[in-house]
Amino acid sequence: MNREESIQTYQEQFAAFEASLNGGAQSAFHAVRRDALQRFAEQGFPTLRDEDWRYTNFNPLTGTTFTPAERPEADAALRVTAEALATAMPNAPTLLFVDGYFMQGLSDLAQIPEGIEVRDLASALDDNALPLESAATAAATFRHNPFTALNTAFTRQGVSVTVRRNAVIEQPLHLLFLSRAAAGPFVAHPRIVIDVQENAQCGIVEQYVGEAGAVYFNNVVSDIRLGENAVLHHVVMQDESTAAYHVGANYVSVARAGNYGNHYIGLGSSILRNGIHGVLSGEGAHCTMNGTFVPGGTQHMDHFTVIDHAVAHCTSHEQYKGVLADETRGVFTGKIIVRPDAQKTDAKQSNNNLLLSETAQIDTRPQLEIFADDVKCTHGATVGRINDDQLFYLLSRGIDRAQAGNILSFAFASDIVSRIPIASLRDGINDRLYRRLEESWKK
Amino acid sequence: MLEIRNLHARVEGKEILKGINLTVNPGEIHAIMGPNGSGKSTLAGVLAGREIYEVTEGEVLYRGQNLLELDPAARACEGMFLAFQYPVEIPGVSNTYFLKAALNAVRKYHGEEEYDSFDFLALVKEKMKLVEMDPSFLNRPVNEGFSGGEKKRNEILQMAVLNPLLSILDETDSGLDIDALRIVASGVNKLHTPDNAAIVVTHYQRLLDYIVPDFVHVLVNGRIVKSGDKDLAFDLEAQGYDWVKDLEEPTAETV
Ligand SMILES: Nc1ncnc2c1ncn2[C@@H]1O[C@H](COP(=O)(O)OP(=O)(O)OP(=O)(O)O)[C@@H](O)[C@H]1O
Ligand SMILES: [Mg+2]
Repeated sequence: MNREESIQTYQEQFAAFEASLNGGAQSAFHAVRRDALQRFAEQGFPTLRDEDWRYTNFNPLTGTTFTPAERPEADAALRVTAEALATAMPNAPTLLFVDGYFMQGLSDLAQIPEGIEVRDLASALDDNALPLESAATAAATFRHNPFTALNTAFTRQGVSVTVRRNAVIEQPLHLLFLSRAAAGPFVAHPRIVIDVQENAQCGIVEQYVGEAGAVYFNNVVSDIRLGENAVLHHVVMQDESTAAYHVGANYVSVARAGNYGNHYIGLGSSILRNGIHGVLSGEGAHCTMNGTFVPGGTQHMDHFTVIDHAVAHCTSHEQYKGVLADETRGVFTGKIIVRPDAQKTDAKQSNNNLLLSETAQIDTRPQLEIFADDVKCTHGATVGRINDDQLFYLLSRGIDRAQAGNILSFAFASDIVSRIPIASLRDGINDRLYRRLEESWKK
Repeated sequence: MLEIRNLHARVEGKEILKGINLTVNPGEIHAIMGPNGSGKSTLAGVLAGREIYEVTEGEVLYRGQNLLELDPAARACEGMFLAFQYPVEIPGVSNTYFLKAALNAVRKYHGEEEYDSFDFLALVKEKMKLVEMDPSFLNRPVNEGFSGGEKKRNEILQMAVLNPLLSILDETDSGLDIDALRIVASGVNKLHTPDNAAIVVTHYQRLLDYIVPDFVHVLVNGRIVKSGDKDLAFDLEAQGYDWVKDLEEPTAETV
């Protein structure tokens, strides 16, 4: 299947999707969907000629026919399957999604803490109850990202999470996405709408798991809004099947004195593209974007981040660490925009990479677009190998090469985990990260 | 325990060891002295299995096996221990984690049960007393931010935990103040038994007041040019190395 044919396939799927909506096609949001489909058809999938996409070849993805999965029966066994594959997130009520569908009956809806409101996105859209800002964001963002346009055209499955004004929520919310082999090759376009209102604080963990060998395309979009002085710790544990495709796009806006932190742990998928577009739109706003990615085999992981300092006195910290084994390829793009009015901006960015083989490859590009003069922006990128002195020190104490290499690469990568502000999540994530790295060193 | 015969080694194409002969028996302590750059650390590195050193001639027997055929981790598991002249900092890896991984690796090699965290902690705290180290060092990253003396004590702590048969201490006394020297030396002495042996590399006779060697060897320009008992160290301290530098071949029977 070529690119044109794949576009046509999605257009046909849209016709079927539209027909299935019944009353939903009358909703205000449906006009946005149509517009998005139109836009997607015009743009098509990105190619290596598109500057923002030039390091990732999507041919394997566009060459596969993915169709939406059937909605699974609400069987408690699904929850068991999901949890067996997932990293435990202690004390976090779980919202379960299977093959792209929100399984409310298998979710801990009764345990959602006071102050958080969780809504099934499908019904919120049909009832025109989606916060209008989200629809507006959707309309604005898909212009630049064909995958977001595609997601928007098909937006229905997903969840809207609202954290009420002044609510300080200790327990993180866990969004667990299970993808099953028998349902593939399927495509899902989950949409996560998060609204953290003024003075509210909470943590949200998105976790993606897939059965071994499952082939699917998870095309996820998150619309995230932080009100004044709001805090969101957003953790993403991407542990998809290594035969899957995962494209994420996160659109974040942070109001005055708000604090957004994204902590991305990239372990799975055959091709990953994760985009985060953060706009610091009120003075004193802060954003953290940290991530670690540890591809093995022939995995390809592309991280594309934008931090837009739109106003003065905002700060941003970004650190991505890659550990690349075998024939893998990693990409890091860190764009920092400092608008003319954004004086006193303080932006720090670093991307450090550890190559474990001669054939692994990393492309790292900082992109600073600074239009204000009184700012502090630092960036740095490193590409290195395991330090021989450190390796020999461990060997000389009886630790074998595989374990020694693993200890050193884990120390490098887990630095990112140690910065996740929700302490209860760290041990589980570290265990999983260690086991994943162990696979890279066993060979 | 250890028999080195006509050992030649180079680094980056340059010959550093030019025919070392040395025999170490269980229960013995050997001191190696010699000017800067004479090859003391190179010898220690070759014994520990550092890959940058290329052995070009000679052989090393360790407890009846060809040492040079063992990879570095196996050498350690077989009871060899090198206290580094310059201990390496490992950010992000806690001292406890490192020590436990090392001890369990050695135990696993011998088919022994691995320590759990609880038993390990009890053991390591006991051993820390030997080198008068504060338990707060356990949670810190390996050697990171340690003072020179703290790093050296940490080497001896590792030695105490791993309980080796043959220890090679490469200038473990350098950078130690007099109290620390006494602590480190008494730690080494307490670990010494009739079944194990040590090779102590030092520039200072002072250390040998605390760790009394059975033999002293002088290494000059890649060869052991003189061997003797502990009094040789006093001669070297008093007269420097000049008088031995010109000695082409060993003048005393190499032990
Ligand atoms: N990695 C290396 N590359 C190049 N030359 C090296 C390397 N390691 C050691 N050498 C050289 O080998 C020689 C012996 O060094 P070695 O460290 O063994 O000396 P040493 O006797 O331990 O000295 P010191 O008393 O100063 O510790 C020196 O000339 C040194 O410069
Ligand atoms: Mg030396």
